[in-house]
Amino acid sequence: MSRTLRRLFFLIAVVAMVIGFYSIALGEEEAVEVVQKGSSIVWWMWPIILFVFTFLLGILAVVAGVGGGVLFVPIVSSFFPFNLDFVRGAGLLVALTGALSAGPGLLKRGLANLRLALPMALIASTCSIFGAMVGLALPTNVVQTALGGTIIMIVIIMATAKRSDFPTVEKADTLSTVLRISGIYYEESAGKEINWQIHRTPLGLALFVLIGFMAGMFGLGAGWANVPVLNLLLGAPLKISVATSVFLLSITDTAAAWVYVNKGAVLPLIAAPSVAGMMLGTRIGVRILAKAKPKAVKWIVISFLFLAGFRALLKGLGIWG
Amino acid sequence: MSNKTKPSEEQLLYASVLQKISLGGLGLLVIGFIVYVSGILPPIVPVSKIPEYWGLRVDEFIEKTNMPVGWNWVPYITHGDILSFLGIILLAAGTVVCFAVVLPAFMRKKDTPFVIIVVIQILILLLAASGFVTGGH
Repeated sequence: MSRTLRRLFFLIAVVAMVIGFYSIALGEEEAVEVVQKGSSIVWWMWPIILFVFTFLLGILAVVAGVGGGVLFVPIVSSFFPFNLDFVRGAGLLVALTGALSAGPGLLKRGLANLRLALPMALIASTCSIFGAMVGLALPTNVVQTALGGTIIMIVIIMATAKRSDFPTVEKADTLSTVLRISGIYYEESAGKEINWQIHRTPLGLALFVLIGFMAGMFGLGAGWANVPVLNLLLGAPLKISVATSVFLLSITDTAAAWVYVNKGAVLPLIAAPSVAGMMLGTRIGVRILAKAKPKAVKWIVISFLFLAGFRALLKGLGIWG
Repeated sequence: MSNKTKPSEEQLLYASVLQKISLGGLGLLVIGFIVYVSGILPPIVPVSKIPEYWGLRVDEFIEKTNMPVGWNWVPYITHGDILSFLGIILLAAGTVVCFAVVLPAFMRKKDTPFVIIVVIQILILLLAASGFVTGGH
């Protein structure tokens, strides 16, 4: 077993231990009926534990190629004592800051494309506002159940969706031609410039209604949905799709984040350590990525995400609370 | 990077502004948080009390703590917990600033479809930021 793999397994073990300790701590709290008081752990331990947890999550997210936002909400809401409202508020900020940090570099390198992103972002951000409003209005158990179901669906998409490096687009559709959505980028692996254009734009825009709504409702990043739509449906090259998806998140999540901020559903004590931990973890993850075997880690993370989704579903249904 | 693969003027402008705002927002978030937890400025709700409320739904949290919602936090800016919001506000405001900056570039090019898209996007984000649209139960 290589040194890198050993390190990765160590990290996964630490994450599992943190969750285990938390579950034990929560169980004991319930036993001594101090839930309303928060916990027997001194208050300043919570942000530290959250920081360490999100730091590890950030590393795993990058290595597995899974968005940090989509991991954050189901896992933190399932295993931490915070209300789902505050977890979703923090989750949006985690996804937003990740996108804001990566966005400028991707735009400057010509990988994220402004013309491709803006029409999609307009639809997704508008719908994310409605999603946030609905999510904050519905009873917690309903949102938790829907979140669990959505996460399981995301796991299925992640596990089965194929990706195409250079999809064939014989003819650009009328709408994308009018909007002049096309481009050229330099593909390093092939050592040549790649021309790209898209098709099925109206259908893609329609799907962003749903993607935006779900991003706002559950406080999830939406890379898991953006990339397949941009890549497989619209026909943008994979690198352009992934980069544009990250940039898209910075707009979609901004709109929803405002709803949560104005509603008071962003607690700095939860949001700040989460954002800092995830950002730091992501940076370390990028370094590890060069040496790691992402496929193995991806499956571990997907399994972990499935468990969190299943737990959220059972929690929402009142079976495992 | 050849001329053909070079990103457009408005794309580079957007990236440049976004980079500055993101860095500023993250810096402010960290500084605000340190001020908050260190108790340098008095908070509206003591940090040690937050664990009593973070299991509640947001409406109950607001009711019990009397934390200001919407833009009502502005007069309380000298409080530690409110100050720690500033970084979050800047991060959330960054995108609308970027759109406002690139709008003239689209207008100069007479790129009407994208002028319309950017104007509507700015209005949508301003509506979200205004606090007029919030969920409730």
